[in-house]
Amino acid sequence: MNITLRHVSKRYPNGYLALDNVNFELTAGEFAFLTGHSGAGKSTLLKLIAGIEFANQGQIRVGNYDVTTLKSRHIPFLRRQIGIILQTPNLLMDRPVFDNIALPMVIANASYREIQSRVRAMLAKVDLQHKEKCYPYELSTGEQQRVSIARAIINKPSLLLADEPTGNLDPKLAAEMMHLFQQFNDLGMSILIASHDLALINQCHHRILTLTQGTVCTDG
Amino acid sequence: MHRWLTWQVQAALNSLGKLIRSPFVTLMTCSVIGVALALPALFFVALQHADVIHDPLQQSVQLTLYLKKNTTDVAAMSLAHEIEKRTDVKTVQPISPTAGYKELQQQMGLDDATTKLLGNPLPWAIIVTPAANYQNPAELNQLSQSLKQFQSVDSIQLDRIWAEQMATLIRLAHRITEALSVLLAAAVLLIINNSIRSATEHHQEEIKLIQLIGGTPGFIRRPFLYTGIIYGVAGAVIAWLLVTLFVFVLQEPIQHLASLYDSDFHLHGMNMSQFLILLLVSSGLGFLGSFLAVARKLSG
Ligand SMILES: Nc1ncnc2c1ncn2[C@@H]1O[C@H](COP(=O)(O)OP(=O)(O)OP(=O)(O)O)[C@@H](O)[C@H]1O
Ligand SMILES: [Mg+2]
Repeated sequence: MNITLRHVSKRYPNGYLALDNVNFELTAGEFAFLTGHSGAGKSTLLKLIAGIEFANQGQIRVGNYDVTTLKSRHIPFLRRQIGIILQTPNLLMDRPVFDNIALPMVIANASYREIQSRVRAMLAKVDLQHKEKCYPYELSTGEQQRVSIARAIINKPSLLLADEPTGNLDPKLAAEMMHLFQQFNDLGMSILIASHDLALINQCHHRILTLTQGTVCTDG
Repeated sequence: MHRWLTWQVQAALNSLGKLIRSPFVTLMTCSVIGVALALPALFFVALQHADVIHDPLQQSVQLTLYLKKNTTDVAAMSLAHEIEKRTDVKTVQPISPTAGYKELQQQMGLDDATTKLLGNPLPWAIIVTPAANYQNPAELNQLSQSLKQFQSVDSIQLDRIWAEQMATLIRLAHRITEALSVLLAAAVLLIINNSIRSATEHHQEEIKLIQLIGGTPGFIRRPFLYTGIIYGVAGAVIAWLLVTLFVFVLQEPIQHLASLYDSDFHLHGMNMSQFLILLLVSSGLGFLGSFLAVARKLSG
């Protein structure tokens, strides 16, 4: 799924201008990093694309959806095509790992057998085979992060938005996750990852968008 | 369709499972709903009996004409005949002082000696039963007024009066029951709405997350709707149990009382269709209460 942002500005209700006239395009199947100093507006940008926050100005197109004018009853259907990994892993604390990862498939009305085989496969990919029955509070932060990665990609969305997905992982695991994202990208998934782990970003040789004070200033 | 059904069943079982995991709170909520429903249900059941008791009374509406003391037998009988000819009268039953006296004697167990001593104080009486379509209060009054015109009639006693009062009371009780039902239905709606609202508060994170990954409002609503309906069903069952228990406890004393009046009166609990109505109303309230609670959460 491609993303197009034109003259997008976001001012938070408290008056703070988090994004100021942002323009860029991500073509379908592209893999790009979004970087910038803390507070530059990376998370804000991802939230605007997913329809979690709304722009005050400009236009955001995601696939066939115009997010800026999207009616709230259509938002669920946009979200189903986007895998979202938020900066803070937001898992259901009263459900085991298996249920957390299965949730998008449950929402998409998949059969239990389908769910079971896909969840098991995902667990292997994020190296959590033996934690299926654990509750999130029994996991390390890095493990929780991997659960939220598995949850984001289990439904093979056409776009993945990830906010610091490797923030709490050691370099080896971080590289493994990047490799996992790469595999999905090879299958055609568009990917936009916000990160300030420059070492990791430079390993990957992908397009890099840099946000400075709410505007995209370098691209490439 | 099959899959949709599977999820419905699963969501229902999930909701049930959650409720069972906190049995005390669930039982409390269901009991409150049950008591709130049992009250109007009891009134309805009781009133149904009142109607049964009341019905035969309406059939036996009678006027008793007491004639003046100096009325002769011939005059009394001809008056009776004259009254019988009226279209608004069904039957007349003249009772001579002697006949009336005999009956009185029997009822009070007096012996001949006393009665001879006192003499017979009774006048001629004529018991008038109005025609079937002349039994409402207004026409009865009219009949009574026109019978009073006869010279030899001393006074008229309307047996209807207390029956009339009874009917008024029962009508009032019906009204009260209806009003009470509406009030308590509103209470049940509020109880369920409140429980579900606190459940949605409890699952706020979950709701947000499901919205984030593309869950529709219908998907989010489903388990809460089932919870509401389960509350309603459980409340109806508890209400039925309470009514049944109540009837069971009262059965004996009431039957004893009835036997004193030579009646084979029986106390009945709720019948099947009444229970089904209760179940339907209660689960409907559960559905509505939870729907409103979740709608508020989703719009906020
Ligand atoms: N809900 C909010 N209300 C007001 N201001 C906000 C809100 N969320 C973010 N901001 C502000 O917007 C700016 C950009 O925030 P954002 O979270 O997008 O930064 P970021 O680039 O993701 O930073 P980090 O690397 O630390 O995650 C910050 O200065 C922040 O204070
Ligand atoms: Mg951020």
